[in-house]
Amino acid sequence: MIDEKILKKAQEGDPSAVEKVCSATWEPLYRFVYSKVQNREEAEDITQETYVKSLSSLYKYNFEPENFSGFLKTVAMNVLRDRWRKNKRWKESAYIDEQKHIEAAYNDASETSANRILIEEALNRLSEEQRNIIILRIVKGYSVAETAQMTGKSQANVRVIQYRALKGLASILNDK
Amino acid sequence: MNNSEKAISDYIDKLNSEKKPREHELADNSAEMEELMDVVRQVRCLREPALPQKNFAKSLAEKVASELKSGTSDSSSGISNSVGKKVSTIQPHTNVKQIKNVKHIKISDSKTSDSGKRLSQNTKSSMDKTHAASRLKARIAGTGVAAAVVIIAMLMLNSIYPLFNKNIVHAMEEAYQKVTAYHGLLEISETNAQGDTLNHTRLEIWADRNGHYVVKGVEGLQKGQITINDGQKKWQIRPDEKSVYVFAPFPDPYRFVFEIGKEIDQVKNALKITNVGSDIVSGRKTDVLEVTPEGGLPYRIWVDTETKLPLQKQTAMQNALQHKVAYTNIEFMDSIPSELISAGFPEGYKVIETYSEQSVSNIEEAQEIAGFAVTVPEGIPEGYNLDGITVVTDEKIVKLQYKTGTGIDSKTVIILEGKPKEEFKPNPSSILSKSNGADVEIQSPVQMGSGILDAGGAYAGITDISSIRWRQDKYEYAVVGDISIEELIEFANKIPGTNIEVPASDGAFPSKPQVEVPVDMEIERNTQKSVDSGHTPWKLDPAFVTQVFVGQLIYPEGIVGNYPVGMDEIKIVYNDGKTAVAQISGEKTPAKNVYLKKLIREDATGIWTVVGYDPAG
Repeated sequence: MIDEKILKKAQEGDPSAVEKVCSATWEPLYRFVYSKVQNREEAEDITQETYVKSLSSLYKYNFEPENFSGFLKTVAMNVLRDRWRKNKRWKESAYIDEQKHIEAAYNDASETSANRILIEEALNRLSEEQRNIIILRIVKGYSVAETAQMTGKSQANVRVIQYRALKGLASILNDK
Repeated sequence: MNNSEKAISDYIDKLNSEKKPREHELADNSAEMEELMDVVRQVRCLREPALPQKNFAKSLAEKVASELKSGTSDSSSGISNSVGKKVSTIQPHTNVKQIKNVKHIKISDSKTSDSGKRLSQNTKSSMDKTHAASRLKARIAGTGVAAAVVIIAMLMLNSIYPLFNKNIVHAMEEAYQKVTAYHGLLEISETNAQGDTLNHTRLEIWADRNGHYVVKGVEGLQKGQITINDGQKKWQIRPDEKSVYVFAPFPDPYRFVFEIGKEIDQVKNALKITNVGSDIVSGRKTDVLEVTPEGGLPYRIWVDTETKLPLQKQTAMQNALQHKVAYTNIEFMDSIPSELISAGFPEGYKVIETYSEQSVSNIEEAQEIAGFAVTVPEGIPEGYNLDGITVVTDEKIVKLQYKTGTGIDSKTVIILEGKPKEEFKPNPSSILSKSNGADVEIQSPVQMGSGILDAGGAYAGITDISSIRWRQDKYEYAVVGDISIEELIEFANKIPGTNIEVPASDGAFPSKPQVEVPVDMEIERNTQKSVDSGHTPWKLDPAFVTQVFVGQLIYPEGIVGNYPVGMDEIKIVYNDGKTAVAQISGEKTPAKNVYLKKLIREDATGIWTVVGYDPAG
């Protein structure tokens, strides 16, 4: 748990206090942000913005120092929401009210594992060919050329199968 | 394959490379695309996240502390102007003239573009400003991105005149015109194709428009080293060796990467500039430009949306390496602090002179050391003044240095004069001209230092430096400078007896080749790219290209062993920089003249291609 005195010092920009806060809390926050954006560049950027916003607005909210990590995730969700809303990418259906939002942020571990199960189940409902291509391309991170080589298909065919598989997954997930 | 299939595939590739996809910034993605991207991200949650580099927590803390100190958060109440030497309140209605007279004011910025709104909150936030001012006084060169009043002036100008409607290059140039000096923390990193950072360097830089600078290595290979160029001399302090290395101040091949003025020049001279979106860099809102230089690979540059000055640059991935340079904070000032630039050499350090030049006060002293009568130009082009006389003592070369202008517009020209030690042989890649019938070598930029150029200084390989070299009355001369060839010729012709002709530049051969050689432009374009990446550099040398071509004429099945025609049998008899003619002597050659052209790019980096020849005999 982060000492409240350190948080206060960090809020003033004290480098040593900020370093203590960041060192103790960055990884769960980063992982949380990464789970939403799925790329390192953006996750690092949002993590930084989250700390600045969190520390500078610390005492505007009734946050509990013992749950600073949860507070960080709430702020991160706000940062994400602001960015996505600006780009009209925050789907109304996915919009959650502030309270749910906070709960989701605080309980992201259980949310993550529930999501994992949902995705795995959805993947299992795809054809073997589609599932393989999705796993190679998205989970394993192979390029189209590498995936084509491994599956013995043309690159164009890989893209077509990948697209159809994603459409299929979207439909399965929407039904859930 | 339809567009959606390609778009979603590209999106997956972008995430796999751990980069922010462009789609995350666009507001016009189709509903279908949004849905598919969402599915991709969900599936991607099945893999372990890519964690940042080892030093992430530390650098994160530094950046966060820096932003908190400078009050850049959106949630800060109103303006928090930090003030350096003077405190000044800037009212929204303050006119530009008044603002220009106030120096050293920094505005804490502003991730967002609400500076106007913040300015209007001045009265309310005066306490914040005073507090920020006292904080700033306590620290050296502010943390966080800050900008001087000159930038505020520029912003005010922007609001008065529709500068944003003008093109970005003009806006950048205008912004830089207002900068006299700056201080920044520069981060340089190299990333490989897997996204791993291989080398990380941090430099603290003070630079001014006169080309003077102080560069301090904070992290990386140059850690602890301080390099200073005060215009009169350049020296590098190396604490680990307890030594100071002294270099010639001009030309200065070292400089430092991401010099703001130079970057703006490169953008100005680019073939194509595309605005590809916006981004936040070091807490500043930036416009991201994709810049395509002539014949080079496109790179990206992040330009501060408010100040219009570049903050970050990322090169294309070349040879599996990508370079990224960014100012993590920058502030603008009147001049480089005198305690830094005039620091001198640390006590007890060994001084190592890397060049043996002796400065003298007049021509007589120079003549005495050099041992010959120095020919002085009869009059010099308008605006130039004699700035110094030196003698390269071991080579007995006299150097007269002239300068014109001040600041960034300052130009330097050096006349070198000495006794030749070997036969005059122009560099094969140089442009050729004549002076009273004798050969003249013109290089732009200087690629090879032969004769007096080699002995007189390290000029080769420095961009923006051109040279002219010739012989007259048993002496060899060279004129070197960061000016155009035409201006250099004007300078050279001031030396009594010199009459250098301006080389033709229409790209036409003096005579037509008897046999035309067909060219596959696709192959040439690929060869140019290969040369740009550092391969087959011989394609830049017309003599070498001729040697290979003639070899292939003799052995169409492929050259085995040595080239059948030696380099000493090839003489470039015509070269205007775009076209060249090589004359081949000897009995083996089936061609007496070979005609070459720069088909892809007509500057010094363009490859030569054989387009014709005259059969021998």
